[in-house]
Amino acid sequence: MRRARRAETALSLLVSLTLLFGLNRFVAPAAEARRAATTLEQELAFYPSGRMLKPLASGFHNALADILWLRAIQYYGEHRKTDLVFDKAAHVFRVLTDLDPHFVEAYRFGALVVVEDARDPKSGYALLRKGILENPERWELPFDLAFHHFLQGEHGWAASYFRRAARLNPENQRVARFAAFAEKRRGGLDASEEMWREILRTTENERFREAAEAALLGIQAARDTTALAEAARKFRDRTGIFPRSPEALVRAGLLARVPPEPFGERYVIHPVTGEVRSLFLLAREVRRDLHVLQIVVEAFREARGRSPANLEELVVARMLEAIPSPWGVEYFLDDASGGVEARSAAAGLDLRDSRRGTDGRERA
Amino acid sequence: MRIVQVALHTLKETTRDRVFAASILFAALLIGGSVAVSPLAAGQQDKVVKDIGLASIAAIGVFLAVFVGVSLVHREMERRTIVTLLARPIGRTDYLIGKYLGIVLTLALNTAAMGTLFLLLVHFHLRTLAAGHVAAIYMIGVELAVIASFSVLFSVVSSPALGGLFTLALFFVGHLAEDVRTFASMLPAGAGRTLAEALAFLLPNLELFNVKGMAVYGKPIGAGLLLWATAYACGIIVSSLLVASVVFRRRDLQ
Repeated sequence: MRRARRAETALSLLVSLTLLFGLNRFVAPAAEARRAATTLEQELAFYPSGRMLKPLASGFHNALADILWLRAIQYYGEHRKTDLVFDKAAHVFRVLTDLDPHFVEAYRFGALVVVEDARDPKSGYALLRKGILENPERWELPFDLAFHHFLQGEHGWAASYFRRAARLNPENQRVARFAAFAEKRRGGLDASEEMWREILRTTENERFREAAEAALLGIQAARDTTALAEAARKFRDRTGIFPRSPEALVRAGLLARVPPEPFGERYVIHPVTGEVRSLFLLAREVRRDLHVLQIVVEAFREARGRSPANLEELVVARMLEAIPSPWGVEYFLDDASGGVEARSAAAGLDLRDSRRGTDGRERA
Repeated sequence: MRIVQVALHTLKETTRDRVFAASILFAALLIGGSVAVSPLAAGQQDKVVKDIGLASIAAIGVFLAVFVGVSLVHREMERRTIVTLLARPIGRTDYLIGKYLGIVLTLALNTAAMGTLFLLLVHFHLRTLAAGHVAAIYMIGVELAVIASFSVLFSVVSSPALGGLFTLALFFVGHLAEDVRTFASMLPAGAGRTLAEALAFLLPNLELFNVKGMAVYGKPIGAGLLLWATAYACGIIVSSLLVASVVFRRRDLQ
């Protein structure tokens, strides 16, 4: 009798699980389509205000902030690898820090993404100022605010916040020295490098570390391009034309060797202007510009019900301040595809040939 | 003595319930799950594991306090066993207090089991165990004791379904108490504001017991705060049980 009952229970469990499995297999395509339609951006854009959400969380706001942190990291990672557009970052980090006002790493990382990647310094500064108000004892927040002001060339604000950070952490001599750099409006690449190293030293966030490491490589590239541009000018003075490649500078005896491009790519010299760029950084900038321009074109189509005749029409319609042109790259609207494309005046240079992704990692 | 007997009987009854074992298992899964997702937290593993771990202990505890609390007295009334019990030399108030203490013991056992698991994880996996973590678990336990007093009160005055709903609503509003007081003070001066402010002060302030964030950030949780919160909780519990006992004494159990 007992054995029969057990068999009956096992059988019913088996039938139930099979039914559940079958049903899930049946609805999987619809669920997948729905998931694809609701992107992470849409989800993040509809996060309500953190100030409203916090009281409703009934004491679970810190755990809620952690879930949002995981989503924010995912959002950053996805866009870092693809289009480099971070237009939801400010909103997400604002909500996150409303939920958990003592989450210092969220202010620091959020401001880095918003200022450096989303290129929205005002929102980044506001995020850090909120962090300072909530956590007045933490020196890292005024330090980061000073650092971002410094990188934006706002030396007065930078000096003021560096001094504040130095008061909170008098043992760290470097911070006081940065305040002096900012006061004297000096420092340039050396000061930037030292500050990024300080950021690298004080963060536990792996994404933050990756960004700082990439910035340090960018500083190395900036030093190399300055030296290469100087040599290219001498080459032009001697021959009347700019060299076609950095190797020509070595052959002409103007350089001992071509410096290795820190991201594993190569340096390129513009044949007309002589401007030197890291191909990796140039390709990254072009990729970002293409995505931003495409977004503006889509917004134009939605507002006007037609495609713009060309990209200049976006400027006339005041949807764009100006059309960017890094290293003389021209952007244009492709009539056939309706998408924004890029072309380079420098013959033989394909900006899509960068072997590395936007995060500096080797592509598969 | 009779109160203790009822409490121990209640403890035996609730720990035999499958909900008790399932809640501990579920909490273990949640706490373990926080370790699994922590590598995605970009350097914030420590915070994520602690936040989710403490939140799991609190959430499972609230679930147990509400659903076990509201059904216990009602179940005995439905089975008519309460009539036999109260025929013995035991007062209704003693019975109710015994029942309440039984639920509190169950919650204490549950919180201790989940808390031990959490503390072991923090000690051996994160290696950042601090006194604040123990204090946070203690405060979760104190809050659960308060919620259990609400569930006992509502189990006496209404059905289990409604009692559960009312208890959850009070838990929710209790965490909003400070905001409700702020909103009340923003009303235009007059009788309306005075009434709103008075009503706002009738709400239990459950945020007082929420020190999870302080524990995670390593902020000091003073003994004074723990004592004040415990005394405040005792006050709420006494007032809830007082009303419950008055209603229960008048209730026709036949």
